[in-house]
Amino acid sequence: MRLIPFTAVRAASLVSLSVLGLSATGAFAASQGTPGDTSSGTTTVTASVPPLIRIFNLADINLGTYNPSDNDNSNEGLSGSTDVCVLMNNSTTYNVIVSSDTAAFQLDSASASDSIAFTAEFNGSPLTYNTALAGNTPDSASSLAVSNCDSGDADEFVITIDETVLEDALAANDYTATLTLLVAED
Amino acid sequence: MRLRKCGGRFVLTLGLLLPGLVSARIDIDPGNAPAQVVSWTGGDLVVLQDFCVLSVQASQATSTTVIPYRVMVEGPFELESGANTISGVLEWVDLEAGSASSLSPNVFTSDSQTGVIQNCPGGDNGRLRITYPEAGVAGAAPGTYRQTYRIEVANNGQGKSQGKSRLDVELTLPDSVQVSEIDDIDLGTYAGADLQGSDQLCVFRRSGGPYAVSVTGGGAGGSFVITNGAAELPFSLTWDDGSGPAPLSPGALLSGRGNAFTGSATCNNGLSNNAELSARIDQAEFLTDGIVAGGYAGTLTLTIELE
Repeated sequence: MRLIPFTAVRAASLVSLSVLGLSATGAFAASQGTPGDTSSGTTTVTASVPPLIRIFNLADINLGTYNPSDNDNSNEGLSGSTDVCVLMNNSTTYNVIVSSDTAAFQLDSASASDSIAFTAEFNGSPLTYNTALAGNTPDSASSLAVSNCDSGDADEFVITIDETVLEDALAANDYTATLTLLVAED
Repeated sequence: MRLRKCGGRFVLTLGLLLPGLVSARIDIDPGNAPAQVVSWTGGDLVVLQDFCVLSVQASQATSTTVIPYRVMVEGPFELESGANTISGVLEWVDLEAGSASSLSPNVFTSDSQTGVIQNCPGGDNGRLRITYPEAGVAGAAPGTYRQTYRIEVANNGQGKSQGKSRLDVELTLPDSVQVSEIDDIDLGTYAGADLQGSDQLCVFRRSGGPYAVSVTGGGAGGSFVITNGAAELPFSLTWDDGSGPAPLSPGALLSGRGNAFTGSATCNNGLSNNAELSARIDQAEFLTDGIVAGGYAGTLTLTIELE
């Protein structure tokens, strides 16, 4: 029996903040007061808010330990997930790009050259490594600064290692990858 | 007079040879122009007085031989209230020729003004135009200012060659305030921190006394907000008269402000601005649900009051 223990798959989050250079300034013009017992003038205050998007609330994913004794005709690979909150200040959709420090959807051995490939899904849609998955609807919350999005409104990021991969002769070791999820307005 | 001592015959002969030297007439009407009591509501203050200047080459006022004349106004050209003065710029307008000559105190113009015959049948032919530039009037101390302008016209006829008139001008300037040098305030683009901006402006009070200020915004109850459609970004305001920033509440008078400027209603065209309005948006406001991306704007109305 060969045991192949796994440690965590760490999912790192990035907050993407893009500034499109929107300007609130236009043809406004302050007006000056005239002399008298009272004197009034006006000024126009302007500011711009760029498109903002925030991804947060990700957790590390521990896929556990593969036990070959469970091997039978069914696929008993390893799978894990984390909730993900994505908030935007625009009523549009966003895309997500997932990359890894292993340069592929794979876990690398902590001490050897072995690797274990995995697949990833975002809200049930399969992800291609380092390729944008567009058309995602942002979550809702009272503020972009909250610590969690509204209940039941989170997205889900899932990774799966197929059993056929695990059945390959792999050295017993910890296998890890640090994934980066980059979100941006579509 | 000397010619008469020599005998009538000699006088007659010289008169035939040099008629222009022996008789002419000039008069200015009215001899005492009605006093002009004026007020100022902004802009240059202009005082006009028209005259009929008879200038003929004959001793009789009824002569129809018109000759040109010159004009002079005695100085100073300033309105005075004690030690305070308001400078004026004087011009003489030749209404017949449609031209204007600048006047200097106690200095005659050239003999270029167009005279007319008695009673100015075509209308007055001369106009004294006194202009007190806005900057001088606006910045002057409160008080009642007066001046008497003495006008003298003359020609080269050597007959009755001088005519005189006068014009009294009176201007009362009450104490007042004026806010100016206001600029729009662009707070810029949110980039993860509070946004703040300010405008330095001018608060003038003619007497230099204290003033009160209130500011009203465009939100409900005059609240300080900038908007993008239905989205509202609230902000805070402070007013600094030089003694440090003091918070402003929408529509509420902030009294006891000082350091009002005197002498120039525009603080020397903004070079000596003496108050600062500052706006600040807390960064948390930008992250609030409903604050969409885009440009936000709102108008503030500033009111300065005598105190």
